[in-house]
Amino acid sequence: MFSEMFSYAFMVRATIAILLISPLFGMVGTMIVQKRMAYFSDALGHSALTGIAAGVIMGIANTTISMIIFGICFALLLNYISRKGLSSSDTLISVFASCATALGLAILSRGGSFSNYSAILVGDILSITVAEIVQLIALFAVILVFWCISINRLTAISIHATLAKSRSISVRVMEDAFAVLIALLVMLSIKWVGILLINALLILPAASSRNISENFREYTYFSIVFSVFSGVCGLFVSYFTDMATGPMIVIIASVIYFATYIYGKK
Amino acid sequence: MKKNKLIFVLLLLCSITVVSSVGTFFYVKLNNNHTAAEDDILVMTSCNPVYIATLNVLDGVDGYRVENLSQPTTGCLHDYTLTTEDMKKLSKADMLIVNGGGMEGYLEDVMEAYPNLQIVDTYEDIEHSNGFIGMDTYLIKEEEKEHDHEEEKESLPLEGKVAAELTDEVSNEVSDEHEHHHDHGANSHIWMDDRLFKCQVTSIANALMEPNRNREETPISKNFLEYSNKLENEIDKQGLDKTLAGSNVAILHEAFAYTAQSLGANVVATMDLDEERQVSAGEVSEFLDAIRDNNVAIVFAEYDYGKSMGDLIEEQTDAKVVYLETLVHGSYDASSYITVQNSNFSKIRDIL
Repeated sequence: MFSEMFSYAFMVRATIAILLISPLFGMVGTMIVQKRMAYFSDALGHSALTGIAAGVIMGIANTTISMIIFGICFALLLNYISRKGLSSSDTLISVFASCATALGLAILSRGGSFSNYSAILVGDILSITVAEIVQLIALFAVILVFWCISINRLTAISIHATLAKSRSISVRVMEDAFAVLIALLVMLSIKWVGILLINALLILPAASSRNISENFREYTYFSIVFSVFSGVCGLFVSYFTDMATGPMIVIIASVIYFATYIYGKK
Repeated sequence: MKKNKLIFVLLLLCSITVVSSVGTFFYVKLNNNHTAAEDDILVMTSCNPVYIATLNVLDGVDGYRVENLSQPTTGCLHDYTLTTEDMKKLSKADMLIVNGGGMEGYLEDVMEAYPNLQIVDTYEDIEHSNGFIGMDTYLIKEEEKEHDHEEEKESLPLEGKVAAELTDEVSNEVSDEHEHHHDHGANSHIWMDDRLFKCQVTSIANALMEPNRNREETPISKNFLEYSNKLENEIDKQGLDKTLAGSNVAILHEAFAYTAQSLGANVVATMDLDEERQVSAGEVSEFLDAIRDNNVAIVFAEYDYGKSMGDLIEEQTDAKVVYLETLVHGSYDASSYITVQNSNFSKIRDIL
């Protein structure tokens, strides 16, 4: 059964992609949940539409580039305005997300052509190519290096920003760097995961892990395990049942969340 | 880390694995109905019209198996993404027959993933006049609606021109022009015009008969001739090609531009509605104005996405809306192209 599955090149590529993306989601997700940035990453996902629209307007053939540039600018701008403290951050993120989504939809649906871009809403991990897997390996390496270097500082900031500042940690630089990292992860994986599901994959494993963890090490390990398990199990089930891969991964991640929620309540 | 927490996590993951494995096993057991011989030539098709055409061409021919890719239950094919089942079938397929013209958005991915898979693009065959001289003028390009390309049109071959009259020079010129159009959105619902559908059937038969260089009579060529005659004799336009010739119509789905074309009617207003389409107020008023200004008596629409707009049109103008089938959805048998086309013509006849 499994040998037949791996006789298909697309399944081998999809499995490698899942094994690369899911630990990153599990890892980065812990900090997103810890720093209460779930809404921020959701807004970033939705801004992908505007990134594509910007690419279309500027005539950029590879819209992934315009998505990444737009995502980074969007994340930094959000951080900058949030720091000004003119409005509560959830309101601000909501305004930015709505505005970006509407702008993207308005441009892409001009002349009824939105159907050309609607595939990005649900994503398609099965059509990933070798070149794109190489991109994911590079992303994996970048995030892993950043994580090893910055995890302690990020954790300190997430616990108490002022205290972190007093320990000579540049809060602004770290927050911006982390926002850029989320933007990179979201934009480079959105084509495979889809706008509608990417936040679920970022949040669910970390939230499940948080339900049962007592320290940051447990929190990170469990999150990665849940994320990789949901990804691989979802891919295999979707292969045999012919259901979409992204939603199947989210369903399994949701089951884990509810089970850990009940266990954590005990 | 508490020991019982670790046990809980292990138990949880094992339970999910067991439940999903058992569920998947029974699902596969219930749905596994592949009976065809593995050494048959597997011909995959991308959409129902092409599937129907191929079924007819290969009807009763030994050594071939025709399978259609999974079809979306709603909406158009443009935004359809391949399922795992499709990918599995494609990896075993010997030939993939597609409608083409941008209808299959996933085609590039397929070509990249399966570089050895023979792809038959019926739209491209017609566009490049491969055996269908003159038929390429029936292809509807979106640019022609937006820009005045009269000069370009003059360089296109006329209907009925025979192959011998077309010099290589002109032929290349036409191909170049068309490549330019092809890159920008074309209306690829060509099967809705029965003349173009016949060309699609020819294109498919040609591709399947390719190894038969001497063009000897084979079961495939026999089927092709039989089905072509059927299309010629059994599609009953009920005199609509005379009644509607030269009259103005409006459409709520770009597929019906070909229906109008096959009846000789002029499309004066188009609003392409699908599940993701959001129309602006200005667009609606422009559409209604075009209907009034051009004395449009009939509007072709698809029920699922055009009903509410159809009701509005009937309320605001004197035009009647007729709901037609696009042949994209549902389970179709070999005779359904003729049945559905005739049913569409009957609906138009009834409303006039």
